[in-house]
Amino acid sequence: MSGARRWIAGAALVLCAGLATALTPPADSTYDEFLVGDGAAAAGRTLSASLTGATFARTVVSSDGDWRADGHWLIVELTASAPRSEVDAEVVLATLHVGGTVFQASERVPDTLAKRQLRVGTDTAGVLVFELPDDVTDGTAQVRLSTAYSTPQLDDVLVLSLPLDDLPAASLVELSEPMVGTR
Amino acid sequence: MRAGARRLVRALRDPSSIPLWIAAVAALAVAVPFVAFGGLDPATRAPLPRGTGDAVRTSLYEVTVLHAELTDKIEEQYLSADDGEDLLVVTAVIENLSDVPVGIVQTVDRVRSRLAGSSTPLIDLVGVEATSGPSAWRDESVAAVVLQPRVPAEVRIAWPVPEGSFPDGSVAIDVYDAVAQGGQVILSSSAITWQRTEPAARVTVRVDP
Repeated sequence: MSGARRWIAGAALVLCAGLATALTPPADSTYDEFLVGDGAAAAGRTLSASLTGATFARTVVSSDGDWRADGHWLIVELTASAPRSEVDAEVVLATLHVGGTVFQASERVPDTLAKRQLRVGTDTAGVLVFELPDDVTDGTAQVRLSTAYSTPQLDDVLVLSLPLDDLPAASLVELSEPMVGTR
Repeated sequence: MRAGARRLVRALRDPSSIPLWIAAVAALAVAVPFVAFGGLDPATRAPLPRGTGDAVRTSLYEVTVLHAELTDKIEEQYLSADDGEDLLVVTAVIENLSDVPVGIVQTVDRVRSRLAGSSTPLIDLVGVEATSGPSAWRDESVAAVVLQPRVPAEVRIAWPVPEGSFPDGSVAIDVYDAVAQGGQVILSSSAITWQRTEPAARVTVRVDP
């Protein structure tokens, strides 16, 4: 092997080693959550849910009229149920992923589906409400649902995709309590 | 000696030393502005003095202190001061400039923002030792406050402090800059901690009794 070839082979090996290092997932990724579903409906180990609608609103009012707030709100309508067990069957962590930013269903809003007991075999229809900056109006968002307080390890997270581009925008949306059994 | 100096002058005037002159001028062109614009100043900087209603922007969040008052009871939050203590309630607008939701006192999902109520809080009372951990809430709060990315939120933070902590009628609050650090040793690499760095500003606010 001539001197030049030796150098080229050495450089190629170093590049390969760098590539292998870059492509190796981090050790912690063996504990990552499992993202389940990519359409309007998804079913996982602890939850199943489907999107039924979504609206932007400037003002949100609670069902009893006691609470109202202005802002840029996204109201996501969905139905959810428990696939196997009603123990701990509730949407606890609901996030909206859009353009690299993550929002959490607002803790300010009453009457939402968050932390409601879900039933096996019977859908509960309700809303999740997200408070967003004014410029979040387009693109495709993902609604991610799980039953844990923080993103679980080695467990399912439902992913529902929600195109924001053609959503209706209302000036005021009055919320209503979640309803069990809409089928 | 004089012969050496003469030889040096002759060498410097020689056409072959022109590259040396160009290099020297280039080095000066970099060095002079560097020094003139403060390149050799000490790296630490004093926190900027700020007052009521001034926004303090750090790399991860922005805070505007609106109001501070002393009280002994906040009924809707079931908070009350012990004997010999007061509650210092600070009203502020906080905007989360990161791209994930964070809490003020609590951890939200996998992010520990530690804005208040840790051993190294980002919003810290100066010269006053809170007797126990602070609470944070919004007007309608029933759950822990979550600051959504880029959505300013008006929040209240209450610290229990010894009575008579503010003899001059004002409180100073240090606002620290922070960096988001991933991968704490015990937690997984997906956990993020806001680690405080330099003080960004010292906000001085009148305390209403």
